[in-house]
Amino acid sequence: MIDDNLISTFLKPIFANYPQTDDSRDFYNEVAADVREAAQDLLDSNDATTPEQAVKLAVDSLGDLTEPLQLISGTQSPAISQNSSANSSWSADLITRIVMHADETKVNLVASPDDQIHVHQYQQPKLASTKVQIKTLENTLSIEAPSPRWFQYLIPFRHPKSTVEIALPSQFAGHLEAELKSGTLSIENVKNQLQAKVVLSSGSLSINHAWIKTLSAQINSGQFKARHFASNSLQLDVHTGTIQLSNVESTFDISTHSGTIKGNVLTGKGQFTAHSGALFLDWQHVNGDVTVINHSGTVKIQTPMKDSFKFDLQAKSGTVKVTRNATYSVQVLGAAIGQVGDRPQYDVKVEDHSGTIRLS
Amino acid sequence: MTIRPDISKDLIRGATDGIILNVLSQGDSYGYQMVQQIAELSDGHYEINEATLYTVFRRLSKKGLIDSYYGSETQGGRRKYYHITEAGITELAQFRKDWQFAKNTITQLTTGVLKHD
Repeated sequence: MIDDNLISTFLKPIFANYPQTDDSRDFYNEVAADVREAAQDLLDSNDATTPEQAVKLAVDSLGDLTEPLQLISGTQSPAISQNSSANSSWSADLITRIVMHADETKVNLVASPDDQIHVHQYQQPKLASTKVQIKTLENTLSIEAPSPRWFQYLIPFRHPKSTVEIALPSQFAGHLEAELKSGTLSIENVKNQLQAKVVLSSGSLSINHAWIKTLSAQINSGQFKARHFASNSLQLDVHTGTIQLSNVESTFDISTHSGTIKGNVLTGKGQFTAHSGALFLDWQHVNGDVTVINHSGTVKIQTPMKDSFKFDLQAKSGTVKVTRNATYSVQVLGAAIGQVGDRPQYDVKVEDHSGTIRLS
Repeated sequence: MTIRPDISKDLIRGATDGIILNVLSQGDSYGYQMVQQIAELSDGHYEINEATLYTVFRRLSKKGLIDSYYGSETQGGRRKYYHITEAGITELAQFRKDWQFAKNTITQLTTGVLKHD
């Protein structure tokens, strides 16, 4: 027997944002009766092992209740009626892994207003073929956002647009694995223990005011921008494109094949690698060794004025310049090895095959 | 040859009212049961979810094509059944005529060969 309380645990959050009327209560009872029967069938057929899992599966299979709820509560405004929206919610305790696959979609990671995970899709125009597909299997939430078909791009100025918003609560400590073919991923105001892994074929990844546990991103061609961001580790591999960091705190492992790495107000330590590109790193606070490897291009590093550190700067065919009071063991045109201050707390090491190195 | 097991949702959307009226013309039903009836009618090629049905149920009720009532207590809850009205039966007959006409015309448009003088 399926417990009413169990059904309300899953259903009430879906109904929570709509006015309580006789019609909405009637609709709740109708949906609850269907969920009860569906969950019982899942248990009877052994497709679910626990009543909780059965109710969860039954609620998930209902589909998106936004449209009937808007219809019943009269909250659907004509201005937005041409847009399609899909909304689903899960308890953060039940989901530890989110897998997202998207083609030509904008994905926004935002903070949840409550303790639940919410997934919301905005579409214009409404297309069943590009509607986000959401599945749950054990603790994994799988989100698929298919690309529009070619003929849906034929009408000028009416190209289909799809945005998927994933709202994560502050207590979420799970994994996100996002793979986007082309599009953008933005992380804004998210503060939790999220461990994110992103693969982006072409597009941009932007972060603004976020604090997560780890971020690992691989971008084939595009841009990475982070402002006011902190994480235990930030691993970036951008093949072609620019990397901009502003007020970012992390242990960095950043590489680009051809592109520029610009960092302002940085805190942390780590390694920066570029094949052909310029690196500008302005540190606010350094708490460990900093290593920069560049094949061809300029490297400029600004360290905090009060810091004491060792440096080893070598340019095979280029010049090295240190504009700090330092003691040198080697000081020639293409190399500078020495120390700033009396009590060095970290090492700054730069290798540049052909380019200029500036340390200040 | 490409095997396409599921019918396109974009293609079938315009026929949802007719599908639901057809199911109800054969007996009263409710959301969860109708999901299974539609899967059975399409030999598993088309699946509709309850959320879509709930929206269409309300739209058809507003037009007076179906009405609803609560059944007896089952498994701790009362199912909400839907029943086709006289207006719904008339609408279904009209839908079938319209569909036949549209089907023939679309077939002609997508397979017909132009005559060149």
